[in-house]
Amino acid sequence: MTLLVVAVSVLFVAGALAWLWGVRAWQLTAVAVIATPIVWSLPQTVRHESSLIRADLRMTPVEAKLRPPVAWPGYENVPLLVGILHLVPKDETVTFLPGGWLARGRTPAQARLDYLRTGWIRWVAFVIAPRVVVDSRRADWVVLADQSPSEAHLTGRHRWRFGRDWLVEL
Amino acid sequence: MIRGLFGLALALLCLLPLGSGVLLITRTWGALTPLLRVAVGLFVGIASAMVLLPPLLYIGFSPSLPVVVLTGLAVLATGIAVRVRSSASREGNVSLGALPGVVLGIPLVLLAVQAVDKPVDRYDGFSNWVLKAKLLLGGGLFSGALNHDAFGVASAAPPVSRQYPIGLPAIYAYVLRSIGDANVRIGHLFFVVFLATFALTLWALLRPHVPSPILLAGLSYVLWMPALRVQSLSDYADVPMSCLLVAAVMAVGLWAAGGHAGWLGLGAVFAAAALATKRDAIPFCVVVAAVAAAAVLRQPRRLAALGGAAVCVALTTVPWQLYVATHGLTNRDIAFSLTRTADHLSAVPFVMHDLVSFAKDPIYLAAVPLALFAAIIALRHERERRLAAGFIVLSLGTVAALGFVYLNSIADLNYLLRSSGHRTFMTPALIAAAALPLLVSRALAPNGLHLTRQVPPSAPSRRSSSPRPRRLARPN
Repeated sequence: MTLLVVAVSVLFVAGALAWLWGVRAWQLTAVAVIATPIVWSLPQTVRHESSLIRADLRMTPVEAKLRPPVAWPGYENVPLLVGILHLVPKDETVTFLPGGWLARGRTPAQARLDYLRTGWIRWVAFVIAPRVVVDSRRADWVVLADQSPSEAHLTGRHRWRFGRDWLVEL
Repeated sequence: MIRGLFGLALALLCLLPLGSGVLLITRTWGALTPLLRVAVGLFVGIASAMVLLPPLLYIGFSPSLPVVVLTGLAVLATGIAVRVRSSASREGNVSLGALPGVVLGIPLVLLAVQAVDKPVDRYDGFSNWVLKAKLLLGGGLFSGALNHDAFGVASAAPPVSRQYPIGLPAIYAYVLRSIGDANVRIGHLFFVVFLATFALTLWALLRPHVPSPILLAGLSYVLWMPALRVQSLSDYADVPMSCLLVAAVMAVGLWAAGGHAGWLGLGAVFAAAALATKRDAIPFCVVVAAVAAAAVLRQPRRLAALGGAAVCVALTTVPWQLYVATHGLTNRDIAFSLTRTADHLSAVPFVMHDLVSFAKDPIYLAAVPLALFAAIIALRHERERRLAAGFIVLSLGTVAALGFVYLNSIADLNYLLRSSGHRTFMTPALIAAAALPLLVSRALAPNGLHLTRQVPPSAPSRRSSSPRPRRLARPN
């Protein structure tokens, strides 16, 4: 019904404008041929975009900027991202050392490799760029995932706790 | 937010000298009214920056405001020198009225509302295109932005597909630098502005050949296309590449139909920008060049000009190819090879079946079948046969080129086609959608009625070897 009302309204307005401006009949036919698919899809397009806008508006600026678009249960730590953005200078590097359940049943090297391959780390690399995520102990900063500095036998200049994870400046 | 919008406006303003310079160099400046000079100048500025910024990055410069302004001023000075030395070619003053402006503005404003709050939420967005742009935010004001370590050597989470050209990340990094604090949400507005300038560029190119109500409907068709609207804010490169390629097709088509040489130059800039955006543009550009060559086959001087332009376009890819070769960036998804194509020949029916199903998809508003149908009807007019046949060959050629891209996949062909085909089909669909007003008007016009409006007397350039534009039977 809405589609019909929209189509009739568009045709009415188009006809009136055509009469006003002296548009020829074949030009009007051409406009109708091109406009028909638009009118056909327009209600759905507008509905779809309205729902997207409403969903985006519900997010806070921090959520929109930092919350990962895909759920990675057990890995996500948005406060850690806020911490890295505030504390780590843009030209420095960050590495990750997983512990706790992330390293259970695996060698430290294998746990680290698996952790760096997760989608969560892809998201972290995006959010904190131009800071670079590296696979090296020579990084400027270390994130201890699910372990404390004492558990990791790591002493740094400064350290901050964000939930289960620690950020350590080396 | 206000600071971000101000930064975006400043970034766009600083692209104008570059775009205006290219318009002056190609002697297309005189064909436009002031408002369209700004819009087309901006679109050309974006395209030119996408071509120029990657080589500048490779040699150490940053994609920053001072670098872009200085480059733009150099190009503008060259353009002014060219304009002073040669009388400007004119094919008419194309203007945009208030009503067309409002009609075209509605879909763009709605898209802008969506763009302001849009987060980066697609995998390829945060693992490839926007990540690359953000990695280019390092370094100083003038140099040091491209940190090779960040692109892969020492990085544990480098951007995927590092072998892709970096034209789009470079221009996006330039915009994000101007916005400040890497506010990628406001950065999405850049793509809305890009679409707006693209639509106005199409208006400028097609208006002398299509009556305004039909062109207005045609551009509304482009801007309301669901696939274009969804993809333009998705942080993928398919829409920017397709827009640039469509602009190249239109500009080169205008030249092949008898326009002055400047349109060929402008088309070359757009084609080079498409190549700087995505590798898929390579086979598409080959198809466009082949169709244009067929159109001017009996005109040796024009054929030579086309060949020269094609060589220049190909040369713009050399810095990228050198960077990829010297840094050992290997292809992991698609690599062009005749042997690979031959190996995948058995998959041709499957690939074509899927591509045809994309053509019928409502998200593309059936642009390809509709435009092909209009072209077939236009064939009945003898004087439109060249245009109609050219479009049919171009359209089928671009679909075949897309099929060729998939036949060269290193990754699983089935997976690649099913996961990306719905968005890579944007190029053939957008070419068809942009050509639709031209084709429909030619198909439905009464026999013998020539559509192009009266062309004012032109002062041909001393350098231009092209013939005068066709005089037409009646003004529109």
